[in-house]
Amino acid sequence: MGIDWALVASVVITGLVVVFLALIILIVAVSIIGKIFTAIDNKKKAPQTDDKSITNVSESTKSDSTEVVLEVSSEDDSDEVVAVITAAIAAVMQAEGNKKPFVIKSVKRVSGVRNVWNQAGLIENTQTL
Amino acid sequence: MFDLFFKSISDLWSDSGLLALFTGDGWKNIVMIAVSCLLIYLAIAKQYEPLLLLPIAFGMLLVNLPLGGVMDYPKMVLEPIANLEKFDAATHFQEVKLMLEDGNVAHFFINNQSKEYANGGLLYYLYQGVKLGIYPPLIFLGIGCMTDFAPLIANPKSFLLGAAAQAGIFITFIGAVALGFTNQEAASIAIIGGADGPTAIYTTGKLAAHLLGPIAVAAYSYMALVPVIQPPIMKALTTKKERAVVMGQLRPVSKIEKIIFPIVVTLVVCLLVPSATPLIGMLMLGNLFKESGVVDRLVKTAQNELMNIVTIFLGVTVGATASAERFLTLQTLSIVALGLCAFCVGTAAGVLFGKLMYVFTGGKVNPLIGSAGVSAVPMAARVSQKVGAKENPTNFLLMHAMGPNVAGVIGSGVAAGVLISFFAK
Repeated sequence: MGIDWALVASVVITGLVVVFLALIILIVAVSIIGKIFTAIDNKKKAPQTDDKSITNVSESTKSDSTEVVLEVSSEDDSDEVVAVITAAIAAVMQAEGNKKPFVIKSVKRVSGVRNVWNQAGLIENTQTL
Repeated sequence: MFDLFFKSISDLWSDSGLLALFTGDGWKNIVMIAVSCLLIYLAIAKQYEPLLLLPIAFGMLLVNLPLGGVMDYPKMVLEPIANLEKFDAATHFQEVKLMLEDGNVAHFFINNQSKEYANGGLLYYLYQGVKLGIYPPLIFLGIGCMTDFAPLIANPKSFLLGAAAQAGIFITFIGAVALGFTNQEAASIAIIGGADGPTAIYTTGKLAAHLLGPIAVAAYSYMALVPVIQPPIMKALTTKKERAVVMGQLRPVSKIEKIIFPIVVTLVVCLLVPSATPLIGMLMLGNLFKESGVVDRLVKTAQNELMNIVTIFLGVTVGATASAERFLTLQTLSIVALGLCAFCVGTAAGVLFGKLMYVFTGGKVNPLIGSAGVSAVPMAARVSQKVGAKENPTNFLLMHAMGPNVAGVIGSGVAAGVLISFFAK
């Protein structure tokens, strides 16, 4: 019995095309859904963050009673990141009942290497998955 | 008195499997028992996919015990009904009507009182779940409950890697046909490259059930050997610089997206490749159970009890298809070799596509995550993580590799659907 190479070729080509086609359609569908929901999320979050964080930051810059110092600043930290960190600290301090205004003098990135315990924890988690 | 004793002993001996082992083709069974003991050893001592390899190996052992009859077909005795008017259905005889070519109908009844009548073996009945394609989709239901598609939703481009790694399946198909396998057999062997046990068993059950034993053993052995097979290929095809690429953090995925995902995948895949519906449909049903958050009890059952029960049935009965006369052939060696080829080509195709993405994204994609596209969840993703961590211990590729990894499951389901639609009778 001879081998029908035309059929073999058609199976291989059709197979690869269908697999890629199906997954490319999924990429498009998932990307569109992702964009829609990220847009909705952003719209929801925008008004909330505006109110609280900005007032906190503005309060803190006016007064000079408490000082939260986070070491030396680094040049590649954008303003946005600083704003986010400020908001986070404000939120934590509020949650802890500390109402004193504060000043952030600097923000410093710690070295990329994780400490030994974090490292051990991560390795353990990834290995036992 | 003594005569009776000796006669009963000799009867017992002549009816025993032990005698059958040492007569005729019994040596083949001895070889198969040795093979099954080796697989049991690998499953227990080396922990090669023990959850499946252990029942498979024991099923193999059971079916190769002569006269055990665990996989025997049921034997029916049909007797013609002499006088139809006097035949009383209440006698518990089942009536069978045979439509003859000349248009007449012949009436028979199944005589279950006959000496020739026999029920099938235990594993024969359990095996129907494999043969009819019931168990693999049920296992996919459990897998769906345990799979988190978030890394794939956060980075949908991973789908491409999951598709690229399926090249191993189709390239191996060519090789298997060239080696003289029929198209159905070649398709079943090739699907080993999908590195997905249930998919391989489902496809083989539909296309070439007589090869279930060797294909299942090859598929699960190679899946266990992923950490040995993949790294050399990954290293050979990538540069040090490519392996050290640190990928950006994935965006968080909302709950609604996670709920919509299984529905969208089901619609797209099942409409495009209808024959993949049982596998992908059940996988996505399981995932919808999990992400909906409202059917915790069903999730627990599907991913624990149901999956464990089905795994036992599937393992033992797939192993039981590996009888000596089917397993001890040159075909088995070809299947083992082709399976390895399928795995290697799939890994290489994934990594090469990863390199392509590395170039097109300006170095943002680490090609190592491409190898995870062969499914084998989550082992293949862990291999990407480990190989990446060797270049840069602080580089965590695991979540990035999980994207192509789960995409590979969907990809191999689609590939199986294509092959089944081509070759199913």
